[in-house]
Order: sequence, then C-alpha cells, then structure tokens
Amino acid sequence: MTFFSPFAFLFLITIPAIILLYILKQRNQDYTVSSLFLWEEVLKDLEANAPWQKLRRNLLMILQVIAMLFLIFALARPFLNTEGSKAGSAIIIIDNSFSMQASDVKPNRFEAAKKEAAAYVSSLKPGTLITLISAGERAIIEENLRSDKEGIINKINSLKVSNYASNFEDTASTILSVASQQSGAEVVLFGDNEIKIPGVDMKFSKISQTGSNYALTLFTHTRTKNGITALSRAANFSSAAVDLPISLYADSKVFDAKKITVSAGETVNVYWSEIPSDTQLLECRIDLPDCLQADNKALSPVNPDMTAKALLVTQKNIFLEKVLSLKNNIELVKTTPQEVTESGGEKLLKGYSLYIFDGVMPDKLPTDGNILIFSPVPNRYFSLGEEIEHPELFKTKHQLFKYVDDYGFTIGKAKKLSIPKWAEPVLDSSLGTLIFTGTLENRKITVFGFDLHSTDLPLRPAYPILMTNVIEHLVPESLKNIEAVYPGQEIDFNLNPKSEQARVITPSGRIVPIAPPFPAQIFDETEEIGHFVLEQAFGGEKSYHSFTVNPPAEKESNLLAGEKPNPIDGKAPANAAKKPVSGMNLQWLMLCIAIIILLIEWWVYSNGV
Amino acid sequence: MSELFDSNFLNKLQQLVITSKIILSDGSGGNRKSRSKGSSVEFSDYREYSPGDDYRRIDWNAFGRFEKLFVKLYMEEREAPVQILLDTSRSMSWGEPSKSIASRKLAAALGYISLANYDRVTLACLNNTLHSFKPSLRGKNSFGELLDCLEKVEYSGTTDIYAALQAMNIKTCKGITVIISDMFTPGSFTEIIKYLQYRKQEVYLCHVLSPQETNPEITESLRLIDSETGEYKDVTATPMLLKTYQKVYSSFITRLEDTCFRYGASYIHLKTSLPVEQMIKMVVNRQ
Repeated sequence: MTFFSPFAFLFLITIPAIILLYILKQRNQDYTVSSLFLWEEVLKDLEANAPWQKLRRNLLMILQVIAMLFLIFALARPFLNTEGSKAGSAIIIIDNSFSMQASDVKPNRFEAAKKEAAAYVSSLKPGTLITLISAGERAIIEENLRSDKEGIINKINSLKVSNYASNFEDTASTILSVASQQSGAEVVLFGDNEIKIPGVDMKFSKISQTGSNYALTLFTHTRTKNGITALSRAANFSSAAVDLPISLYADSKVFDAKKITVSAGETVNVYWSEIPSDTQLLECRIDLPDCLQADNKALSPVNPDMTAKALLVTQKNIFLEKVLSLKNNIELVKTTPQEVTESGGEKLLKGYSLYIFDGVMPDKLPTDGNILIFSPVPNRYFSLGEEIEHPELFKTKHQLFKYVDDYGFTIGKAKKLSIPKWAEPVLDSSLGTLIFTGTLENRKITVFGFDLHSTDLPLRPAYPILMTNVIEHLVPESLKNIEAVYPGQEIDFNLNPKSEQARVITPSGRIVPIAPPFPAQIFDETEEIGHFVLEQAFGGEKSYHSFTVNPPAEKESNLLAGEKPNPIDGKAPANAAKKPVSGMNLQWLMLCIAIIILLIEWWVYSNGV
Repeated sequence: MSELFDSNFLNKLQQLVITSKIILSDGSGGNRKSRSKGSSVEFSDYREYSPGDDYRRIDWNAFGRFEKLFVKLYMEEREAPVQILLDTSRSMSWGEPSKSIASRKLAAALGYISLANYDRVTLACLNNTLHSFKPSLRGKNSFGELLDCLEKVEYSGTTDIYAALQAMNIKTCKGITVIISDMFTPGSFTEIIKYLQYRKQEVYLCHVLSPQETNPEITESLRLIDSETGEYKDVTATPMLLKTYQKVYSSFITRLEDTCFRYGASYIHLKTSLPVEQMIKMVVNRQ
C-alpha cells in the first residue's frame, strides 16, 4: 500500500477535534438521587466519570470518527500495489486496425479494447507517465509521457477504429523506439493480434473471441468480347464449412446470385460473366451475417476504356518500340527526326499524350503532352555535362525504380545530366546523374542521359519494369490502374497535362481538391471504404475516373488469426488471455465507505438508535 | 385524620398490637422483670381468686373482712424506655414509594405498639442534628402527640446520626433504641452502636431503602444530583456501572449487617415497597 498524498494525514488532527466537540457538547440530563453516598464509591471503582466512558457508547461520534478516518485515507490517495505496478511509466498500445471492428466481443473489439485500456490506466498508480499509441496502418503516438490519467482516458475514448490493415512492422518499430527511451516502462498491447518484439517485455490483453467471419478478399473485372467478366474470391474464416450466398450488383441492381460451399479456412473463386459493358460500378456481396460485416462487400469500378496516343521520334530503336507495343492502352506513332524537321515541327508535335525523343530534341518541346527523352542533345531546358563512361550505379528508391531489384546492368556511355530546378534525380552514379524527372509548365519530363543502345539494360529483367513505371508515370490514362485501392493507400494521380482543376469526390460526398497547384497533391484520404470519383476539368470539359477503396480483407478478415491455436492440443496459449492489472486505486473505495458510514450515521441520528 | 395516618393505617396498628404484643412482651419483659422485683412493685387492684393464681398473693386481711379470697394485683414495672430515632435528612424524602412515608409509618407503628405495651416512648427526629424531640410519651393517649410530631416532620439537611445522638444526650439506662434511617451517613456506624451501647441501649437498625436505591433503573447518560448537598456526578449507564453499583450496594448492606452482628445489634433491611405490617413483623421477628 502506498499513499501518494501523505500530507492528508495532517487532517487526522480533526479526529481529536471531533471528540473534543462531543465532550463539550455533552449535556447530561439531571437526575436527583437521594444521596451520592453509594454512587461516589461506584465511580471511584469505575472511574466512570471519565469522559471516555461517556464516549464509549456514543455511536454517532464513533461513526463520525470512522467516516473522517476513511475520508482522510481517501485524501491520502491510497494505492494498492501489485506485482509489476512499480513501473514509473507505461506504454499503452491500442490496435485500431480494421479487424477491431469485429463484433465477436461486444459491442465490438475496439470499444472493448478502449474500455480495458481505460480501466488499466485507472489502475495505474498516480504520477505514472503514460504514452498512448494507436496502431493501425501506422503507429501514431497520441499522447507522450503524460501523467494526467483523466486526460489519457479521454484521449482513449476519443480514438476511432480505422479501416486500415495492421502494420506490424511500423508498430513494432515505434514501440521499440518508445520503449527504448523509457526503460522499465510497462508495455501493454490491447488488440486482437499479439506482436512479439525482441527486447520488449510486452503484456498482451487479447480482445477477441472465436468469431466466424466470411469475406470477399478479391473482386476485380476485365473486359471481354462478351462484355465484362468479374472475379470475386470468397474466404471462409471460420472453423466450419459454410454455404455462402453471394450476389453481384451491376450499378446497384442485382445481376446474379450464387451459392457456394467454402470449407473452413479456404477460399473459393467465383466468376461472373456477360456483365453489360456499359456498367459503371460492380458490387459483390456475401449475404450471410457474421462478426465483421464490412468485409462482406466489395466494389469494382468500370472505367471507360481509354487509349493514349504516344509519338516516338527516333531513328531506330527496337527496344523502345517493343516495350511500348506491350502497353495495350498506348497507341504508338513512330516518326523520324527528319520528318519532324520537314513538317516544321509544330504541326507534327501536337495532339499526343506522350512524346518520346530518342537522341533528338526539338527546339521547343510540345506543350500538350508529357515528354520522355533518351540521350538528349544540348537544349534550352536543361544543361548537359561531359560524356561519362561506365559509371558505377547507385541504388535508388525513386518511384520509377519501384520493383526494380536488378542493378546489374552497365552503361557504356552516357551524358552527365545537370538537374534543373524543376526536376529531381532518379538514378545517380559515381560520375553523375543519369536519369531525372520533373514537371515543367504542367508537363512531366523524364530524361535518360544515355542511349538504350549503349547499355545492356534492355536485356535485363529490370527493363520492362522500369519502362512500365516510366510510362505509368507519364501517360495520364494510366489512371486506369488506380481502380482498386486499399484503405490508407496514398494516390499520386497522373493527371491529364491539360487539366486545369482536379478534385476527388469521396463516398460520403465530400469534395477534396487536389489541383491546382500543380503538380497535384498526393491524395491520402482513402480511409473511407466505398466509391471515389476523380474529376478533372479542362477547357470547359470534365472527365471522370472512378476508383474504389475496399476493406483490407486479405490481411484483416481472418478473425481467428489472434487465437493462434496450439498445433498439438488445439488450445489457445495460456498467457494469451492474461490481463494486465497494475494495481488498485483505493481512493474511490475509501470515499464510498466514508459515504456509506455517513449514511449509517444519518440513519442512526434519524432513528435515534 | 391525616393522609399519612388514615383510619386504615390506625386499624392496622390495632391488629399489630394484638399480633405483636406477646412477642414484644416476652422479649422485653424477661429482661426488665428482675429490675422491678422488690420495692419497685406497686399495688394496683384486687380481684377474686381463681384457681391457678399464685396463692402467695392472696390478701388474707381482705379474706378476714369479706370471707372471700382476693388476690392483690400489682402494676409490674414493665415500662421500658423506647427511643425511636427517625432520620429526617433530605435523602429520606426520596424514592417511590417514598422513604419518608414508609419510615414514618414504621415509627408510628413501633411507637403505638410500645405505648400499648406501657413502654415509655421517645421520638427523636434528626438529620445532622436533633431538630424535633418528643420525650417520654406514655400510654396510648400519647399516640396522638406522637402522630402529630411525625406529621410535622420536615425532611431537610444532610445525615449525621452520630452528631445528632450526641446532641440528644441519651440517659444511661437500659432501653431500646430503634434507628430508622437509610444510613447514608458519614462516619462509621460502629461509632453509633458503641455510643448507644455505652448508654445501655439495645439497638435496632431499621434500614429503609427505596427500590430505586436497591436497583437503580438508569439507561442513559445522567447528571446525578445529591438531594441533600446538591453535588452532582455525571454517569453513563453501562452494564459495568450497574454491576459495580450492585457490588457496592451489597458491600454496604453487608458492612452494616456485620457491624450490627458484631456488636449485638439487630439489623432489619426494609424496602419502602413493603407494607407496614410486614415491616413490623420483620422487626419483631428479628428480636
């Protein structure tokens, strides 16, 4: 037992004061006796004339003294220590990922976790420095080293569950970082999945039960000759086989329904064919109630098939032609530098979404499309350095090199690029920058400082990946790929260079402007699940592109994941249900007892006992 | 006729004389007979001889003149001085039934019986001093005087029997002294007995107490005020307190009984709740 305000014991001085008041207050009723002859002897024997004797039977005073003692104890803030509660600081992590919406724990896992976390905070001894972390897509430090328990509890109550998938790596990294700063801190995770972090002794308060859940883990479509064919994947995350009724909606109207049998822990692909081509939005639903309803629905937008026109200006480059021909959404037009010169340039260099200059460059770059340049010549847009040979390549994390792991290609000759203000380097080498990209006058320009014939890159697996990334980056119609988005995913829209204004309309009807200014800002408000629309305005026209955010079902819908059954006996680990209890604040208990005693005292007074 | 001594009470007294006479005569006559032998026998009357009379008392001169046997009747000297000492301190007017009534009725009854038995009765009302004194009452005719004195008694002051006795200055001759008191008196009772026995008195202590004194019924915190002195003591009724009172009370009674026994005095413990005839019986039986 610890008292956090021992100065309150100074109030103990009120106890003698109460007794003194009673002594002073006492007025005995007069009673005449024949003589005190015998009474004097009696009192001499008993010393019964002492005030204490009178007080002994005074129930009211005794009750008041006891009540005062409890009040003083309450003021002294007593705290009953238990094992492990001696830590001066605590780190509380509350999982607010999508799976915490499951209702197998009432009212749902997240509310239950908040309740338990609040109870844990209450049980912490006063003065404990508390760090509160919410762990969803990212681990966010909501409160840091705060000792105000009331404030922490308010903060816990204000937390909201997200649609994000858990990001265990980020959570673990944050916890490790915070825990290393607060040595000896008690780390407690309230959630449905335990996280093991080496070096961190973390308690886990499991907020889950064996709830059954069925989910659509995939829903996509493709255009065929007979209309649209859709694929949905239904998963059974329960411990028994189930017959799942699944229905498909085309533009909110029922198109088809099926019943499939899915074994426990299995997934089944369901194909839907001959969906009308003019459908704009597909929706698939599992019509069976379960513990997590949100993942029983998936959306897939059907955007109009758009083909971008690209102009390739080159003497001859088989590598470029081949790679561009692989892109279905690009209609490639090839020309030579001579033809461009003969036609006067300006006429030809118009009306394309993408211009590719291989070893040549016009005096004036086109203004209506993005530009890709290989082996540039001296120009007025950026300056070129000396020619370099066999540079040693540095690995890069630039978006254009996404999924590129192979840096084993070599470059024989290249021109050292000076990066203009409007651009950023993509690939650096020991001798200078080899690739850069940027936005100039609302046009995206990507420059390769070398000729594809001077490198073995086209022979490497990295080539198609790199070129796909570059085309995706430069061709606005590549928006087509941004159709299925996970909650929390950031979207860097590749807007049409002609766009004057762009905004996103969320499922709840909110309008989020993303441009101007250009380049468009990254859209990160994708937590909401549903149908989003990107609206672009140019020259009095408007274009629309749909994309949907579906629940992270693949990662989050398996509600049994946290149970981690023992492969031998099938039982959950014993420590999984261990609840972190820090100690007990006895202040309220003391106050309650004091109030009860005062009520009894009032009753005694009223009834004259 | 007063309220205290009403006709019912006086009738009871008559009864008491009949029932108590023999015992009282036997008891006192034996002792005093030797003193009255010889010169002290006075002629009283004649009556005809009847068989069984002491023939020594036949007046032969009368036989010579009337030719009938007459025996002389002498008035025997059976008169004994009986002193009734009535405690009239303030404490004696307390209790329910009041000690004042019980004690005066007892004094009146004893006085009446004594007067009816030709004893000389002296009534002394005393508290810490002698304040009312009726000496040498003889014959039933004096009973009215005795009652009158008892009715006029005022209960006041504190008790000091020893001091009052000294003020009374009892003559040194054989007699009976009946003390009617609650004995809430300072000093040792031994001194009182010794003093009375020095004055050749046979002592009867009629210890009169009310039921409230033998068994106090207090249930709360009280300020006990002494009726005589006005002094007070604060007490809270606890089982322990009442138990201690009983212990002290028993010790008080035992002490008086022992003292009486040791010095040949008679101790009669009387509760005011008893009827007066019962009290007289207890006194006489004690003898």
